[in-house]
Amino acid sequence: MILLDCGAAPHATAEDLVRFAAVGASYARVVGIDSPRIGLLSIGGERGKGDHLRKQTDIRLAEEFAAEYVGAVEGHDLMAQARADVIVVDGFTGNVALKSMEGALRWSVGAMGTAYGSIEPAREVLRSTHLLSGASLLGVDGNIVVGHGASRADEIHGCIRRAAMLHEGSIVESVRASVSGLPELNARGELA
Amino acid sequence: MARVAVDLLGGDAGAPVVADAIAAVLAGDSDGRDTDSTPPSIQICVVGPEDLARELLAERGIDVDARGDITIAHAQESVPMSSMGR
Repeated sequence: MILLDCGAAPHATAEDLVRFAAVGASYARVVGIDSPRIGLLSIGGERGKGDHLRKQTDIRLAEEFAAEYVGAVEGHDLMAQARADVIVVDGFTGNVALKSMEGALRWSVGAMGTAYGSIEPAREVLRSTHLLSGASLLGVDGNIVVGHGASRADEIHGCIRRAAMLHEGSIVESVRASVSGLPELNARGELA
Repeated sequence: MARVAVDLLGGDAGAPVVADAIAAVLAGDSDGRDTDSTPPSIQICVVGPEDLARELLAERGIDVDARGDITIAHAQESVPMSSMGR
């Protein structure tokens, strides 16, 4: 599952989220998801739910990505990747969602350790998340991977390898092409 | 060949952890991903205080001057956690 934004752009407009979708789908193709499904993180799967930003974005995503957009998804869809490969959200909500998942995973590991007498099997699963370490800063004129401040060596290793892999996949050129066909925006991030 | 710049002072755990990661990359260690595929060819540029970088890498058996896959870009300044973005 590709979640964007995770915190870089906390004040996003609907048009920003349309661009996140284009960028995320582009990233998905570079990492091997040929036909990415795009979802919008909201508080319900039905159309018309959510705040003004979500309602506006739902309309625009359906216009721009008729074939790929699967509609709104909820927080419990994030980990499963059953409904969408790319999930778009404003950076503030995305960061809260990301850290909620981190906290839930840590709690689960502790709870399983208590229940089964050993924390090691669950901890091993959590360690495997180093393969997913780091976040790509997409939409800038360069290939940047930002690691968690508390990253371990294996996680930083994963970040370096990811940066190289994205370079080989020409991520910057791919992202640039994905947004080049979208309408121009003004300084407030609205349609010009 | 991908050239990757790595911030030596970028982590909460300090430079040794970053040096461990660089050593693993240069050793060609797998990160556990796609074991059947060829890992990308990587050239590292370590960004940070040069003396510290050399010391940490030497402790890990890496002679920067003798290798073609690692360089150091000396950077003296750092941005403290207390710095407010503008």
